[in-house]
Amino acid sequence: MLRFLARRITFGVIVMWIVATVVFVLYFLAPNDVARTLAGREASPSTVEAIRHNLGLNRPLLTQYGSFLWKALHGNLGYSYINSVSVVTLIAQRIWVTISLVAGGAAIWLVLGVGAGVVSAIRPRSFADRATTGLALFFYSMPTFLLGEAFLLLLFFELHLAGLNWFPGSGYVSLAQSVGGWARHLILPWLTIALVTAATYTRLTRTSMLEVMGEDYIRTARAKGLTERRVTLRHGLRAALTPVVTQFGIDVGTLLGGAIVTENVFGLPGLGQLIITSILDQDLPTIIGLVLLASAFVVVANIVVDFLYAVLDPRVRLT
Amino acid sequence: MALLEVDDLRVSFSTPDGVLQAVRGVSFSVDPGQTLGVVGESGSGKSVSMQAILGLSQGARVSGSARFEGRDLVGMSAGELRRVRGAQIAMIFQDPLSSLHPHYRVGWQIMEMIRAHDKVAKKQARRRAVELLSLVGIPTPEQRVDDFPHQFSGGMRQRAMIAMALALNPKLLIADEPTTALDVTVQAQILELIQRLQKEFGTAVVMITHDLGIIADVADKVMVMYAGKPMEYADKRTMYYKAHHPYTVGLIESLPQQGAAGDRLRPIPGLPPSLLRVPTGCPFHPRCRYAMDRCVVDEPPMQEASGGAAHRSACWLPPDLVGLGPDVALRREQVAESGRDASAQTATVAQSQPGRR
Ligand SMILES: Nc1ncnc2c1ncn2[C@@H]1O[C@H](COP(=O)(O)OP(=O)(O)OP(=O)(O)O)[C@@H](O)[C@H]1O
Ligand SMILES: [Mg+2]
Repeated sequence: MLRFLARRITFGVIVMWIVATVVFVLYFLAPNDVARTLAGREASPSTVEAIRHNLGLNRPLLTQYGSFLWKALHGNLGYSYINSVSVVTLIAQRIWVTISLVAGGAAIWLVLGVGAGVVSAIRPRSFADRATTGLALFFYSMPTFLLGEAFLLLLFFELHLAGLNWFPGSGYVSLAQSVGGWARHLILPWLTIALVTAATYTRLTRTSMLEVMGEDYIRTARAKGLTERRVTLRHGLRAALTPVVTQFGIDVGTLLGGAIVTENVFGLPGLGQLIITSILDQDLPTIIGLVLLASAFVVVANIVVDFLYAVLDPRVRLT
Repeated sequence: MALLEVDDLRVSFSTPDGVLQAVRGVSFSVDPGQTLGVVGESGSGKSVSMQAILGLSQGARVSGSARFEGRDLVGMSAGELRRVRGAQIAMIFQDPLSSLHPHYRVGWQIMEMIRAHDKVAKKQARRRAVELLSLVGIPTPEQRVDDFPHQFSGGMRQRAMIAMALALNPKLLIADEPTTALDVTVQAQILELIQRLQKEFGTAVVMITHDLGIIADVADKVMVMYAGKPMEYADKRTMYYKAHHPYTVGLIESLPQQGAAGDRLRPIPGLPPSLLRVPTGCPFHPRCRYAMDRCVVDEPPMQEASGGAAHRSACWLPPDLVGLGPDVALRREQVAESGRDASAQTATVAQSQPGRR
């Protein structure tokens, strides 16, 4: 167990190191004036000079690379000259928005997706199966921005015209400020991200459940005289969850790096919005910081998934 | 009174290729404490018929009746049937490797069975699980109770399945080829275990197998099945020494230990028919050495044969033509010959030809 964790964390560190190196090569070895690029387009010559000095761009390359890694390792992702604030601060201001969005959305899509998958797997080719599959396909093929805009139009704009301000159209209220406000501002984004994602889980769960429900141990469970509900959930779903867990890890890990579309449609000041603005501003330190952060989320998600595997299936050995 | 009395059980599945009649009129009975052996080639409907009785064959259409202690299990409500399963009629299956849930501890699975029917405390159920594991011969059951199935060997898993099946002291145990997946020495141990427990608790057993050797060891009565139907039904001695149906005779003759050393094995030629298109008349006629004209058109019902008490066979050969050996075979041949009309004979032979190859 400890060996497993140590191995996976070592592996994760190596992946992060590779990502950092690639980023370094791309931005620092690029054949242009890094200081000028970093400073942004409208920076004064004195700022550019200051940056050049700060970054030690006159030093040998390996020294630069070493100090880049060393700083990143200590949580120093550099300074956003355009926003006049450190990248870490910039990320810290926004990360909770993205976490709130992804956590709530994930909870909804997990319950919706897996629930619908179970329902349709219980009676394959029944009306319930066809209806859920159809609905899942509908939302699956729906672009996120379109669903988001549709929600805005119907549940914000139309209701607003009718004098009902149930769902705000944009913005974010932190959990610390007001729990109700937080949830109210997030409900539409949650639904958007959840409905678009849930379809994958419905199909995964359905396929996996159909396979598991034909297994011998399900017949054993029935022969024991268990209720059908217990057979389906405790014996069937439990065994069918493995692929779902993998998908969940990947999705959450990826989205935590920034739910770009949803955040932008609903004007949520999260990491996804920061990605867009930093790219538009050519705010290189921020972009680099976000890339590193997103990679870290994916790496951690992978470790957690492997760990959950072993918790779910005792046959999996953590070595 | 019989413990289980099955009458004209029929099971069919609708498949993309049409309706598959897996079981086509099976009747038998099991007395308390007795063992019924059910034999037949693969696909003859042995498993489906037993599973259908307990409502375990998913998507099947079941008709007929299966009275257990007087109550018909076919058409019983799901809730009532659930209370019978496990508690009154327990079942163990062919493949112990896949019959236990891989994600739960062996002890937990036994406890779940107990607690599904008896409202006992966890501690008590656990104690009972340990007892049962030791009863079926699992060493250090106090520790093994917390093992996962993959930590058990195949034989141990089947022992655990038996422990689970006997947890609530059922009146009937249906064992569906419980030893097929195990190696020979373990097979003998498992059979012995089942028999020992059967004696100890007075459990009736339905033993499904395609191995006549196992039947010889354990059964009181035997039902031979072919293409979803019983072909012959008799007590064990009658079945072995005074078989009537050519299919049974064929099965016995194909046993390796039959006859003197050096005697050739004589497997039954051909393959069982597709259950989507069962042949007219007797389902066995395409493979039968003694097929007569009427066998092609008329399906023989189960009729009394003279091998012993309650001996029944579904064959048009005379009821007193029972037993093995060259004399009886010759007499069967003669009867069959006279049962073939000269003009129709070529047709019959032509029809049986594909099956003979
Ligand atoms: N769910 C099902 N849907 C369709 N056909 C089925 C189903 N279950 C069983 N069958 C068919 O019913 C027939 C009888 O199957 P069954 O399992 O009872 O055979 P068996 O005598 O137990 O054979 P074996 O010795 O191989 O276990 C087979 O042809 C099988 O293909
Ligand atoms: Mg079978």
